[in-house]
Amino acid sequence: METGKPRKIFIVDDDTMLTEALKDRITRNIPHTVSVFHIGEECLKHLYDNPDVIVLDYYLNTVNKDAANGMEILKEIKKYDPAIHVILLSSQENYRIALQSIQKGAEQYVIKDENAFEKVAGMINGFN
Amino acid sequence: MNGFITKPFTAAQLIKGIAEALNIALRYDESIKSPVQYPVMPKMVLETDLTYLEKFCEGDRLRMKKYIVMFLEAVPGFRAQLLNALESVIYTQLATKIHGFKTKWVMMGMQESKTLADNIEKQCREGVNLHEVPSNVFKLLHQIELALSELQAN
Repeated sequence: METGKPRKIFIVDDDTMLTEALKDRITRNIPHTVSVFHIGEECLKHLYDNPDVIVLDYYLNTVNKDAANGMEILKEIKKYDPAIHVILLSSQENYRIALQSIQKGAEQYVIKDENAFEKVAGMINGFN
Repeated sequence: MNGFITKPFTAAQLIKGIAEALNIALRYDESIKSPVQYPVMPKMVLETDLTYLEKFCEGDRLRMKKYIVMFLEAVPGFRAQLLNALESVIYTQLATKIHGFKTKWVMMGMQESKTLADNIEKQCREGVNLHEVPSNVFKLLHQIELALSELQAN
């Protein structure tokens, strides 16, 4: 049985099916409070809400071509509050992006594949 | 009219009549009456496989339907965006739009489309084999059309 305390979670991704599925999965057994943002700039405007964890996509410009990418948003999140846990999502195993994201303060880097939802749920429950 | 069978007829006679009308070879000896053997039909390969979605939704049909409807609703816009990017020869835009559909391949179990989409995205981002991009995009759109038919039939 999945255990963990309820947390305030932001999901930032412009893929509506991903945000819906991720929200579905992480709230299945634990009543986390989840807010969804489709561009990073909207997430930044809501940081005053003090999220515990932010799940952030790397590419955020598939709908809005001028939207900032995940790395830029990550930098701003950590500047605002270094204690916020950040999980960066990416669609490909790109070592350079993974390394950059860790350097900029993301705790985890998750590839968007069949196992991504389970991995993210496990990571959220594992954060102190 | 492509043929006729007089009543009363057996299952074997009906199968033989259909096979003749469709010009399909039968693999059984007509002298053998029982058990009935069926014509050799080409194997149907489906574009979608909902095994993952079913597992993800823990068998909840309503939740599965929610994701299928999301896919069905996303397709017309996606198709238009791809054709627009292709017509304008804007490969970065094409790559971005294809990238945004990744989760949908996974959820609908469209492994072949996922591989093809990854390939198109790579070709567009790296500028390699760009001459293959239009035909690959049309192939992808064809696979999506087949997937739509399968999902709507479900």
